Amino acid sequence: MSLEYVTYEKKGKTAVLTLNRPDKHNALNEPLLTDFDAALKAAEEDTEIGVVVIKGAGKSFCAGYDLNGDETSDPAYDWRNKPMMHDLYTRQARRQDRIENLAKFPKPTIAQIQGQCLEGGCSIMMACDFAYAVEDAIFGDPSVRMGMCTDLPLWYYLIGIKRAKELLLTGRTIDAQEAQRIGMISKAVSANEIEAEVEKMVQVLLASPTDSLRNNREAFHAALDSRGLSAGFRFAKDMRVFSVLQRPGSRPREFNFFETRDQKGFKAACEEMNAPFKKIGY
Amino acid sequence: MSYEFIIYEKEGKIARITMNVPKKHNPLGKPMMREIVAAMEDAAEDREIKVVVIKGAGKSFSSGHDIPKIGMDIELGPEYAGKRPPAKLLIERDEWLKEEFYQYVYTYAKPTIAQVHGYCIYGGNNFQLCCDITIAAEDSQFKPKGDTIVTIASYMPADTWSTAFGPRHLGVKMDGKIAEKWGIVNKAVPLEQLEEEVEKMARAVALMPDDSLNMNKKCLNSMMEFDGLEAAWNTTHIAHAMGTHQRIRSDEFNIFKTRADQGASAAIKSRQRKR
Amino acid sequence: MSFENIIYEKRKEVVRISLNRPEKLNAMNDVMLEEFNAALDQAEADTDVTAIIIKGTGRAFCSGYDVSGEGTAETDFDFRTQSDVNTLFRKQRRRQESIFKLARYSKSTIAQVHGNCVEMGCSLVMACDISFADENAQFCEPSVRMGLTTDMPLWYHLIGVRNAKEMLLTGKTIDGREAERIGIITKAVPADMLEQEADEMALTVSLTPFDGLTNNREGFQMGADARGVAEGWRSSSDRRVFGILQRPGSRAGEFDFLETRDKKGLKAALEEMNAPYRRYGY
Repeated sequence: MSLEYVTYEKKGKTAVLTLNRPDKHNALNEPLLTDFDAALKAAEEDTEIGVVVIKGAGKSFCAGYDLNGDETSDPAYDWRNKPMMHDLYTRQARRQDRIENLAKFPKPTIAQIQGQCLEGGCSIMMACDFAYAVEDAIFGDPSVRMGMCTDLPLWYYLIGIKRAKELLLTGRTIDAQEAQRIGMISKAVSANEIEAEVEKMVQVLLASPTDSLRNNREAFHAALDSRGLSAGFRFAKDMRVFSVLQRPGSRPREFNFFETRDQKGFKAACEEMNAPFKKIGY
Repeated sequence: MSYEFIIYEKEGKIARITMNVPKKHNPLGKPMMREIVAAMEDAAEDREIKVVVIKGAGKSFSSGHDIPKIGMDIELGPEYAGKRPPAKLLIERDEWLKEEFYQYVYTYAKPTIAQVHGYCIYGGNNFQLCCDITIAAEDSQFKPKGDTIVTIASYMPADTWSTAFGPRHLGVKMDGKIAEKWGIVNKAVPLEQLEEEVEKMARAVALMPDDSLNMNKKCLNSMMEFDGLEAAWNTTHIAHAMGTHQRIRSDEFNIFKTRADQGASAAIKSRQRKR
Repeated sequence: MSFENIIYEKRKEVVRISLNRPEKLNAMNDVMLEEFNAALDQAEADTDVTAIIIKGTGRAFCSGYDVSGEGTAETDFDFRTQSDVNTLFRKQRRRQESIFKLARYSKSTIAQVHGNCVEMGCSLVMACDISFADENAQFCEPSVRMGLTTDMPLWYHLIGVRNAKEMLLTGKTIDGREAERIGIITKAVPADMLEQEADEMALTVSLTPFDGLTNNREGFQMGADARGVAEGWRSSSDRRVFGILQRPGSRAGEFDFLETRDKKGLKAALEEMNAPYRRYGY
């Protein structure tokens, strides 16, 4: 299987999927997501594979969905393209399904994080059973500063209502230590320990009988569903679409990310967006 | 509108509501709650205001619902003189609390930040739980000192907020640091830094796009609904209403009798026992 | 009723129920299960009683369901002797019964934990309102290693998703301090303070208006039920039956606990089961 934006390696019983757009901090665009789906499918169907590890090439794990504005970033999420509601719902549903399926993947999953783990990156990371991160990795959802609503119910289920609200109502980012403390990741480790930590968990998981792991993990899925997780995925999908159609940043005096991006470029737009928050330590 | 029980201020994009009966640690009686809601209504309609900060004057955030009045704050006609209020009226009183106050705060369209210091107990703790974000002084108290048991059922489906609540933590003191550990408050800071931390947080929230704040809050609140919040509200408020039907045996501490004989202050103090 | 494998002591308003098979680290066999249920019923029916303390005699609190195969027709999970579904369901419900009673009866419950606290031991602790443990007590839920799942739904609700996955998907052992940190127990204390803490709590409880306390506990239970715990009792019980029927470890090359126990004895089977995990510090 030859994929361009996700590398797929089979190491014994482990499938290692590496997001591979390092020059863009592995921002998720359609070509990458297509490859990601194919790689996950391959890992699922290969009966020799017992565990899946998900990593990011280069400096970061994943900076989120690609809002760069170039030809491969999804135009539907720029409201000025006046997307059809139907189109937007369909595209967002694909994003939700991907994350929900990952959260309920039949085999155990481990995310290995360094650098940026933002928005869609957090979705992938939180959907995995275990997440190890280098100490200075950063986590959060900056798309809320752009005016968008989160599409991920797992914020609530993993870190609780107070902390989820704090992160999403300020858009601030946190480091790995804090992420561990509040239950977002399994463990913060040093850069030279992380490979070994992940490998340790791989071996510990592989030590248990296959059916046992499956049954134990299904128990989690059932417990979370009985707490409304599935309904949460569906509802968050609608909220996300609604927030995009609401024309983020279009009110007078509010920062308009898309306009600024077109005028000054993606990087400058991000900097301008974050500057007033940075000034007060957020 | 002039307020008797609160102070209401607006400054730029931030509205501040200060509960203002400091001598009694800001008890949440009905008149106070009505004023809080009125002030929040004003802030909701004021297009300048992005975020509401809630705090308490004097030494504490709030000591909860008026302890001197527990079980007696229902307006009853003379035909009820000397009689226990019927269950229907008790439930209606608690419906009011639930719908007109707690749920009003919890579903409020704009973000709310609770600034907690001193006592934040019983209804006070319920109130801060209904706010979106809470910053507390490290030495704030979420349980009265020395009193490890709550005798009236906790009003809130607080279990839904944190796995730390419920009888599991009856035995543990709950100060700001422990509350932070369990996710009941976002952050615990030294008292002298509290004002500044809340100010920073409020300003950060005020920088956010309106729709983002509104929708993200709704989205997260809905997650709690899917997680059974409404059902939990209904069951716990019945338990609370039933709380005043409890029979207290002769060898048990009777707060109601002590209050009747010796007054509220004595009733509260005598509950506190050394462990 | 006179008890053989538990000790029932009543002193004023406090009942102390001690698991009493110290030579077997208080593993729960048929006789103990029967007696433990009867003891709980007896305490519940006694109108003097306001609090129940659960503890263990000897070196351990409770090392879980007895899986030695001797005197364990009810507690063992040997699918070969329990192959009809009706029997399996009946036995599984009976196993879960005492845990359910601890969580639902009207008396306040306090766990006093020292030494090993394994599998069902953890279930007992989490079912209690308040729990104290020796700082060095050892907590573990190894069902995944044996091919089974837990029948205690509170695992999914009390300690957060990340911590629960770590405990249930690896079967690792943690100490009292860690158990307090993640929320399995209320408080970890030095060994010489353990008895006193539990006794003082029982005293405080007995001085508190019983009705009010019962009401408070009811409120908590109802809130928990609303968030899926009620559903969890039945679904975790059924899932455990499913696991038993699935013949744990029956895939070629995977560890088969029952077969190994038959060939080499319980002790050797447990050692062989744990060896691959221990290699990684689990």
